[in-house]
Amino acid sequence: MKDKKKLYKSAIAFSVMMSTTLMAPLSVLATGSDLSVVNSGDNATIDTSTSSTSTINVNNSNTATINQSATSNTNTGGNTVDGNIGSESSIHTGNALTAFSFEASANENMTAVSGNSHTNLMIHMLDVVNTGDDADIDGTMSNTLNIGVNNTNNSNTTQQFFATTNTGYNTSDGNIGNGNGIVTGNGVVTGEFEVKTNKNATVLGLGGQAPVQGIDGSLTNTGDNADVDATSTSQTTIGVNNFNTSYVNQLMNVNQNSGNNTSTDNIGSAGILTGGAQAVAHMEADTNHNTTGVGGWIMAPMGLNIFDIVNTGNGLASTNNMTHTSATSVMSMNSLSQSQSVAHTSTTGSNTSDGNVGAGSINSGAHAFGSALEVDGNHNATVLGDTTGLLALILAMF
Amino acid sequence: MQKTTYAQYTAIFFSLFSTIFFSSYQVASATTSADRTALVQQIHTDLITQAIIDTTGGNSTFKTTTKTSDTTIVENTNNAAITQEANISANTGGNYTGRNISFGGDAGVIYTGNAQANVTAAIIANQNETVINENGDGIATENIFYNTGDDTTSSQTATATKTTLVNNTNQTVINQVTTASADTGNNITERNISFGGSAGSIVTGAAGTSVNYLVTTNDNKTVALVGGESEGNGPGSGASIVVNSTGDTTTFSLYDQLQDLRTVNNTNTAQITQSCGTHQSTQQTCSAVTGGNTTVGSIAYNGDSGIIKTGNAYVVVDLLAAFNSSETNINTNPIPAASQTDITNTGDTAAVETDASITTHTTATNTNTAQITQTVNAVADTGHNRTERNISFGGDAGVIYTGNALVDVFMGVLANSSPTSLH
Repeated sequence: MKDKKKLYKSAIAFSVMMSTTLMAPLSVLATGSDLSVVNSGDNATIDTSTSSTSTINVNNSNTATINQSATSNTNTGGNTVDGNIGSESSIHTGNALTAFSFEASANENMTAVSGNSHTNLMIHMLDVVNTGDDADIDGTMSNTLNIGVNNTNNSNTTQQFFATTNTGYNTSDGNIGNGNGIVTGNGVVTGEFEVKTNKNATVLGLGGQAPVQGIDGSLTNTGDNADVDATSTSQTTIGVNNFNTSYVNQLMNVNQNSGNNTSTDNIGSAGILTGGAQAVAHMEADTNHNTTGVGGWIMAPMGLNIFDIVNTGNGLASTNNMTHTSATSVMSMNSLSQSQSVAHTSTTGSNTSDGNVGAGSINSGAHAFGSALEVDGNHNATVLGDTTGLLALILAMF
Repeated sequence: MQKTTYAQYTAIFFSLFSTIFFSSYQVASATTSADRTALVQQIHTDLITQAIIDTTGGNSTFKTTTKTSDTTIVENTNNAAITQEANISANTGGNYTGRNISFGGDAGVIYTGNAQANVTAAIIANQNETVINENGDGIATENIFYNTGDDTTSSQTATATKTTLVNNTNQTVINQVTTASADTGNNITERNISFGGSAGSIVTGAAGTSVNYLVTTNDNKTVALVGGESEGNGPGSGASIVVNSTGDTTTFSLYDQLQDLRTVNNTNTAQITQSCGTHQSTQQTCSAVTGGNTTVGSIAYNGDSGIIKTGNAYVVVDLLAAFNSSETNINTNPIPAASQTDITNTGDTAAVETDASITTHTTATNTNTAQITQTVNAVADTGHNRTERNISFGGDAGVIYTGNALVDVFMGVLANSSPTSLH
């Protein structure tokens, strides 16, 4: 069983590994316009603009309906020894053993966005050397980044197990000999239920290097009445939505018997020794987990307008504007309906020793029942800004 | 029991290498080799529109248009309907001995061998792997103007559109049904007589049923390396303009546009039924039976009579289904969408307008629908034995030893996994 679990772990290991790549620092490359003007005439008009729009959408929609059902009937009892004559006329039953394991893993989404090609690191270079009068220089740059990640999971998992073990219901009747008794084996049931569904990990990050977004300009001007306008606008919208609906029904019903034995009208030793009844149940439901991290400069891109002006003319008008708008929303909605039910009935008694000539004692076995029911659901972890600990969160999640 | 591991199956991939459609335009007019070399060294792109113009006349109009369109479409559609049925029965029991008489040996004794029913059913279906790797497909407009005339109008337009579309659609319906039974029991001995040996004894072998199902289906792996691993030679659209003008009334415009569309759609639908044994009440089960034996009315002198020893009965069932996995990894190198313009002007009334725009849309859509039903109905029985009216002189009579009855079931489901990585 443990080997199979290892296989599951390895199946998702790649996913986790992938997330580590986004933590690597990324190089910053300039993408934009580079305009150099050397002008000596009058009335020069220079308009230059750069715009960037990047849209990233990742939509994950999962629906899983899982039904796991097992019915088990193990029996070593129901034996009859009747009317025999010999040194021994007895019943010795073996054990009735049942072991089962349910594992359901479904609806896992891991989204990683990194790399500057998606986020348009831009720089707008503008260098003007002008000696004429009445130069009008306008530099405009705009950058729009939209990232949307939508995870929608619906899971409906039913795990049911019905187990019956019997080593009893034996009959020893009318035998003649030294040993005419009944010895039954043990009934043992172990059950493992595991449900892991609806897990979303979203990581948006670009490492720690801050890019330059804006206009990097220089003007060397000797003419009069130069008018220089630099405008830089950036807008970042990030939306992460996690919607999970999970319904889990885990049911274990165990009926064990090593009793109900009958030893009657025997001559000689005719006792009854029943085995024990043991059942262990472990139910675990781990569902509806969302981990969202938005970090690196994607949260707060460094905007920078640099305009170096060396002017000797009269009437210089310079305007330098920069606007940055950032909106980040993380919404996680979880709905969990969980039912864990364990029913156990065991019998080692109800034995009958009647009318025997000789020892006719009854020793019934012990009962043991243990159950561990665990529910771990509806967890949301959101980290905005510093994502240093995010990887640990994700690793713990999967 | 030899079991096929999950790792062995998942190590197998179907590889479909994508078709890369690539078109380009190269227009070259009059050139000066030295200038061209300098320009090519200035920006490292592969598709180049070059114009080197040296004019001294007036009223000149120059227009350069560069367009490139790259479209890559990969569509994988798989439909699989698979039914695997196994009805297995192994029986060494059901024996009968009656009215045998032995002097000095055994009479009416039954020894059965083991009965083993094994079923292994594995399905690997609907797996897509797509790799797109394109190197150095940027474009550039490289123009050099030497102008001394008046009233010059120059217009350059560079447009690059790149579309990458990957569609993976898988539909799977799998039905695996097994009914298996292994039986060494249900033996009968009656009315046997032995002098000096055993009479009417039954010793059964073990009965085992083993069922293994493995399903690996609807597995998509898409790696779109747009721009490949080269140094920044993505689907860029760039322009490098050098203008040396001394004339008056010069109008210069540059329009540089890049559109990059990347779409990956993974749609998986799986309906899987795995069952071992259909119903308990109809006794359509996966069963192992060594019990149900009967000895009646045997007589032994100096030996045992009516002894039943059953072997173990075990049912082992492993059901494992891994399906609906969509791995998307888009690795895009930085886009060198840049315009580089150098203007040297000495004339009056110069108007310079440059505009560069980049639009990228990246969409990954993963839709998984899974419906799986795993059912096991198992019976292991070593009991229900009966010995009656056996007589032994000097030995045991009517003794029952049953083996163990064991049911071991594992059900595993790994479904709907969508890792997406955009770098």
